[in-house]
Amino acid sequence: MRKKGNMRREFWRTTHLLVENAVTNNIVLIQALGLCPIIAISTTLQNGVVMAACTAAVMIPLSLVMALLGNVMPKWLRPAVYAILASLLLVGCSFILERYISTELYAGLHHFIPLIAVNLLYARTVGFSSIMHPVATVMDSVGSTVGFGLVICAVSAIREVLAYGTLWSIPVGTDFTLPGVTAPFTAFILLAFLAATLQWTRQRISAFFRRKGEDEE
Amino acid sequence: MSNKKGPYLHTEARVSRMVFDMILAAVVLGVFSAVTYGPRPLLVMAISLITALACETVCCIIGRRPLRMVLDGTAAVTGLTVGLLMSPMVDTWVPMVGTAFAIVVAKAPFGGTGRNVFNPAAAGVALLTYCFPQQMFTYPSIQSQHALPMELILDKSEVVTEVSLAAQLKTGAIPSIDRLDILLGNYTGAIGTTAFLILLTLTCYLMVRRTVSPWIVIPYFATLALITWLFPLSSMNPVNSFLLQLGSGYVLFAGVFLINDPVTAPRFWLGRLVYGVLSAALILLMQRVGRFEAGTCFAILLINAFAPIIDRWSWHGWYRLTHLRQKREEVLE
Repeated sequence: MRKKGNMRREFWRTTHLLVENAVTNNIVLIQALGLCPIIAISTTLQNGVVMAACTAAVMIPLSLVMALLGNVMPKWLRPAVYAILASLLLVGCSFILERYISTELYAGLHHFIPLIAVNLLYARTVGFSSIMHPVATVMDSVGSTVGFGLVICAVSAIREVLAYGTLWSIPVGTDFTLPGVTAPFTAFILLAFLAATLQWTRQRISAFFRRKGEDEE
Repeated sequence: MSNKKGPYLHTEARVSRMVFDMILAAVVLGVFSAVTYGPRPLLVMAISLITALACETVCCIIGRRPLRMVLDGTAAVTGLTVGLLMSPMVDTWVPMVGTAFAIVVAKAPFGGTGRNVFNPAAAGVALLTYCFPQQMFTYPSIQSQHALPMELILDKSEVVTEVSLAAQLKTGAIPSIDRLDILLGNYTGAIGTTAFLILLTLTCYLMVRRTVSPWIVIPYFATLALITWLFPLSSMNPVNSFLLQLGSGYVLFAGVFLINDPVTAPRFWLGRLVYGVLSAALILLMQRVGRFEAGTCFAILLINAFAPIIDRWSWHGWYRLTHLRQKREEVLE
């Protein structure tokens, strides 16, 4: 009986990790990690989706490996192993992208894909995965990836519609285009507005639950 | 530091007087432009003004601020300033985009009147400069005596255009224009920026009324004069060079409207002095080596970002200086 309660608690704890990183404590909007790729290349939705997919492909296996091996390794070795593994995975990602998906996309993104390796993952994976349970780690990195993917897709969709009047290269039927939206400053502005919206929603939600709790009492 | 904080914390009467002065100045400039180009500049300004008020109303509703804050007039000043920086033949959606950006992005999210970090009008015009340089920098010729048609979107092929002074300077050419013509505003440019003598008169008037601070304006013009004297435009007579530099782009206009925004400028007199000098230097730099023929707004945004630091450091420096002197005197005694 007691074990079942533990299981349930573990389940909720890991789910909480996932939701936390994806939405309520969003890795980009609240923790401000991984801003560089979003600001630099989120100009079309395709770029955004490819970046999110690459992040997932690198981050999830990597965090699992680090969770399994992290305790075995001495502390000073972890960053080095992490960097080598990330680079290997990224080489694979870029190869698949260039060979099988789209050479043009790769040409636009090849500066930024390697940046994933030293970006938002670094602090999290090395610091977090090595000390946690593998399941928790995977949940955490899935949550982070989803959070990153949501934000980069939202920003890039908005920017694509505003800049080119298209979405996923399909015209959406707006005549009005602002060519300046491809410049980095608009990404900063959009991120700021998204972050503000998220904070506002968070406050609303917590106020709602607090009120409910007071009513119950 | 003094207890006076922003214009919003002065007495109500003071804010409304400042706003009234600014609106008066804007209207004078608009009328001057209307004399040259027909009533179209006034139309552009009116559209800009209405957009500003509408956006401010929406932002007040969203931000749950009392609606009477719309009527404090600062939004109107922003709208009119954006309108004054448009070309008289601009499509009317351009000032609408600029003003909406100024109010919704550069002003309201920071907390509205008195709390904005950047000058909203400069932000709006900077966006337009970056996105639509074609629209912003095509000016109608001043020689053609016909008034511009009042259509909302002009047929550009019907209007005789002219290369502005700033664009001529940008290409390295020396504009063949008389000193007197510059002083009389007899050259083409944005709506509010060509009335040379009127702008100077307005500066004096606003200084007398304490709406703009002499601690900003005088160092600003002094630095401009010094730089143009030290580095004249391609072996030109320094006086001509100075007048040309003032007349081209938004340089003179910025000295009256943009750098004097009491919210974004420093509060302490020494900070204001440093601010004036730095903004003159940056504006000239943007004007001469920048990518656009009028990069003033980018310079204003940059210097706005540093205004609080300038304020703090200058105050600390001044305090230390006077305080140390006092201490030394005490020791000597």
